[in-house]
Amino acid sequence: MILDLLGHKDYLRILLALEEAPLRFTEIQKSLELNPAQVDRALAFLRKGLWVVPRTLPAESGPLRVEYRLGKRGTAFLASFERFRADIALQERELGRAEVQELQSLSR
Amino acid sequence: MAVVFLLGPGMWVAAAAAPAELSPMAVRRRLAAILAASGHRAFLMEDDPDRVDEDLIEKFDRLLRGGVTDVLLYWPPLAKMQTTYDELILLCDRKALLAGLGIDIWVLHHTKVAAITAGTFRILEKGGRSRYLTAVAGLGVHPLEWETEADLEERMRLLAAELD
Repeated sequence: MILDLLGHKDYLRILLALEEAPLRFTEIQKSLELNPAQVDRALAFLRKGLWVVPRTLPAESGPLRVEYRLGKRGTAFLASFERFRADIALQERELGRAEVQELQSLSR
Repeated sequence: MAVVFLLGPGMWVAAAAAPAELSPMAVRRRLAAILAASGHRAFLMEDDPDRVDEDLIEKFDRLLRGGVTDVLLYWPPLAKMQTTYDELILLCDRKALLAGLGIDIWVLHHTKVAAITAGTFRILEKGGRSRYLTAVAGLGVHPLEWETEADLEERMRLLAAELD
């Protein structure tokens, strides 16, 4: 599961975005400039592993919109990921500037 | 440690069409055991002894007010749901109490019952069966989907780690 997470840039970007505050589907889509299918696929994966926790927004009627927050697993993963990113920046000479910068550029 | 009140059906609609070997009540007991193994206290209304001069609504209220931190609704397909509908109505009627006590509601639903698509939680069951879950979802719940029994257990283990 963690390897799947590391292998998908969209999944990582969504987790990083949720580090700031809970977000709805359309907010994720707009802020990360992803298409709906990408967001849907990523959130299905992240929900399944409880990396993120969905919550329906209270409503008396109409569509039941869902908001996402980081789960404890997502928070724990990001803590490790940030340490990895910080450490890998120190190895730029050996690993290559482009590779390190690609990782550093993943942000909210 | 969380204190989890486990709601949901007790029986399948028909034994012949049962989607699992265990009854829904036995599944809920197994889910409670998974939570207990992680240090939480989880209980079913059916397992709490009835008290003299206490009706079902009073029992529901007593249990809900007894330090519950989370309500977990197990919602499989093909189960007898009438008693669960009654419990869902009771939950809806206690919206202010749930908010006041900060009780989270988790809906552990099968993929045939409900789904999240394009940012919206949709009830897939038709007619009257959808009304009650829709009303509860409107309170603000955490939907967690599952498809197989193994999937359900894995989701419960992850939830046990998520609960405070």
